[in-house]
Amino acid sequence: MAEVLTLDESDVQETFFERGWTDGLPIVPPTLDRVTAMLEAGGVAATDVVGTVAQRGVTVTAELLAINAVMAGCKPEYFPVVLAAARAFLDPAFNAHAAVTSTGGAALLVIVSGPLAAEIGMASRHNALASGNRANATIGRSLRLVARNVLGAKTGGMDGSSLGHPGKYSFCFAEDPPPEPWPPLRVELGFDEADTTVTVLPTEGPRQVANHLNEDPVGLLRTFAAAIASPAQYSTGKGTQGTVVLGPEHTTALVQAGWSKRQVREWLVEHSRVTPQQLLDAGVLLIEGMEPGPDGRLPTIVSPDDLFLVTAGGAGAGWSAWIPNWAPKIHAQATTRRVVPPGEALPDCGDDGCAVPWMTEES
Amino acid sequence: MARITVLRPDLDLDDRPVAPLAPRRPLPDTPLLTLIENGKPKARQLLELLAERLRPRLGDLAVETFSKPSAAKPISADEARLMAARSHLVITGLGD
Repeated sequence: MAEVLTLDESDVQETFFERGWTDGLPIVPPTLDRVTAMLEAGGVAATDVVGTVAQRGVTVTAELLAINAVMAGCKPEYFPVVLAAARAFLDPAFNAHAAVTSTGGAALLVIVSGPLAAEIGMASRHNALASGNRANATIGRSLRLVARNVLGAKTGGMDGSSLGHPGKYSFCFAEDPPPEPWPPLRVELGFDEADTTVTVLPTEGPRQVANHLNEDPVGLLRTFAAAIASPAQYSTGKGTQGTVVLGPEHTTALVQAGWSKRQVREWLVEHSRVTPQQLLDAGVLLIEGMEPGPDGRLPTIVSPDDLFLVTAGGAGAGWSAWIPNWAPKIHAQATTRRVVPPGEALPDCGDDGCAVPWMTEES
Repeated sequence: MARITVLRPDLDLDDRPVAPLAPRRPLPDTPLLTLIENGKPKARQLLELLAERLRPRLGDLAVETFSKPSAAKPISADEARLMAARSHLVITGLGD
């Protein structure tokens, strides 16, 4: 069990600030009652291992996660989502060790897809990427506090962010269910419609994509491709992953024109490839290993499977967003976990055991 | 004044086990220097410059370079063991 401190109630905030346990904002004091309620809501024991970061010799237990989730301001009913987010974050493919250390200053973007998002009151429409919703704000903040307090990712410590960006406080939103016939993100990733999934990506800040007048799908997608292929972005031409958050007007234009999500992803990946000269014209020098393909261009997104197309945002004039991963895919990649409902039985393994999802090759 | 009991949210990172350093071996006449290049721009050039500066001090020096496929990922334990067994000196670096 975690060490306990007994303090004057009026000293709690200052003590947590002084010990470097907060992100600069006040916290909810993690009392035993609150932490226990969080664990019960997640259906986990305090000593359960959520994940490890081998390079740091760190093991994240459910108790440590719950303590930080309480501090972040989570309600207990958010904790199953926080658990799934932490399991994805601690997947070795995500490479948390590098993502929370790099000078590039990555945020931990959490995308929730599925019915549980609405049940716990997450925002998926107006201000989905911004402030104002407790679930979005505190689920995202939980991961950042874990990075800070358990992985040691603090300024002056293991967080080397040269600038960072505001998404490092919290960066979490819910997918707004896309219009028919588009499948939601979780189904595209191979999960069931009834599931709720959490996808975590190490990202730069979001870029607003504005196109208020053009309903032609190709015209619209050219605007997105221009944003994705910006030479000012570290991974342009180096092969990364990223997320396009499609607002409702842009979604409607594409769906009504008969484009599938797959077609949109393929088009954007193809049209965000850049020539070496485009980078050089912007003053960006090529590094070793940047070899153009047969088309003479370099990939910005590795493949259509590396572009996450998510519908969110409220009605307006035509706003969307492009959120690049902070580094090429070879360094770190998006990971997804299904939210496990509390009390869900383990699979029937029979006499010889069985594979569970996180042990498969896909994970 | 009301008192409140709270749980610590952190780990004491100083408590983690630390791997011991490999024993220092006497240098043979032709020592093998391994450069671990992390893939960052100019890392290879910097390390090779260091190797050249060491030549006058180490004599008949053999130099091998190991290039990591990703600067963001450490070498594996097997790779580290292999290098420790083969090399008499290793130079690496961190950062950008």
